[in-house]
Amino acid sequence: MPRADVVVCPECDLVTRLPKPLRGKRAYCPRCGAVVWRSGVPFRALLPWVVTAWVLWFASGVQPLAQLELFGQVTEVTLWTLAAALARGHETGLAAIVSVTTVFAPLALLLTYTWLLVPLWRRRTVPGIRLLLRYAHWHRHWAMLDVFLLGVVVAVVKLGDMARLLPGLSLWAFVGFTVSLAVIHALFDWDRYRAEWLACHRVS
Amino acid sequence: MPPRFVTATMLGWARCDHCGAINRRVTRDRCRCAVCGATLPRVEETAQERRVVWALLLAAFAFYFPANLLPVMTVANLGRSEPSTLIGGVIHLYVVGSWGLATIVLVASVLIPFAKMVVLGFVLWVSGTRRRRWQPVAVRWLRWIAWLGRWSMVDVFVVALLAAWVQFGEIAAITPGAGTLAFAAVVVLTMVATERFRPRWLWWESDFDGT
Repeated sequence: MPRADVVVCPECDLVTRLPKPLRGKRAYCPRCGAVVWRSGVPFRALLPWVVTAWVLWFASGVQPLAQLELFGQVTEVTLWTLAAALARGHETGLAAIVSVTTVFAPLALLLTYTWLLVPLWRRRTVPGIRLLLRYAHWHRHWAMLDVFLLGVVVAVVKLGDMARLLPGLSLWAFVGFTVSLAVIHALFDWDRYRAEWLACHRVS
Repeated sequence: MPPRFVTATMLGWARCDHCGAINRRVTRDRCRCAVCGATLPRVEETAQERRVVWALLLAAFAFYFPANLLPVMTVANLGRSEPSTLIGGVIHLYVVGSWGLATIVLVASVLIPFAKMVVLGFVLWVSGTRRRRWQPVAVRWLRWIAWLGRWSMVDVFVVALLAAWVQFGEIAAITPGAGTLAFAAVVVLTMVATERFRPRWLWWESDFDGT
């Protein structure tokens, strides 16, 4: 194995040695400026965030995000039934895009982070880690929770003059879920994860 | 004269694009990541991969026109039905008085999708030439469009939410239009193209120049 302080830039392929001592939150490639090292936290510290994210994920789906009232009529939409409502109106393409980016990709991302923590906890490897390591970065692009929230804000403003909108409890749960996934993503140290997992892998 | 920079490829190493593991002694036969099993990047595949990105970019560009010309949604209000386009929505927000949001939507849904495609085309062009002068610019702009990519989806979500919420039968109903799907295609194809573009293509040419 190359020495632990030798890194390869993910963008320009440059081989560099990390500065010593490592200070701050990040180290950058001297040639192209890409991030080559990020400080992480012990994986133990991620567990409360993962549990929080699971609770908020359920909370964000079971109740309506918001209710819309017009002349006494009320329509409501929950996160999980949004795609179904679109599919009923024969908007299958739109339903597919919305369900992947707001339900399936975030769920896959949360499942990934949860499952990745299992081998570190049990001190032996579990099936599927290789696959998750390979595709984990894929979910990050396609889980568009923050973008969806901006969409909710724009939609609310557009409807402002037309109907009365009552935000639901699930909307706040959804905001919390978005934040906790972002925190897990920011704190997850992939380089150290690989090293610790390989250690478990060899032991078992 | 030894090269000023040492890259992983020069040493026969490769960093896995998927999991980030550094693999040593990579050859034609040993080209899979030892940790996650993904195929490791190789210099020889650059030309082929660049053609794939060009194709994706052209496909995204083709969808830009229906996205702007076709209605993104139809608002049916007390018997009248008004199809609205992207620009129409921005004008409506200005009229309502939400200047901030109108500007956000104008920039995010009309200007940025186009600018992203132009920038990616420019970056692809730079990666094919040996114009070192443009290299730093291309690197910086590529990072911008990679970060911006997903935010253009906001319009698709707005239409989806409005269509699901506003279902009051005769009084008011919103149906998504074909423009929204075309717009989603522009955004998704540009995102996939940006993801497939490897920033090292900007460096490999000059790495092997001996300069």
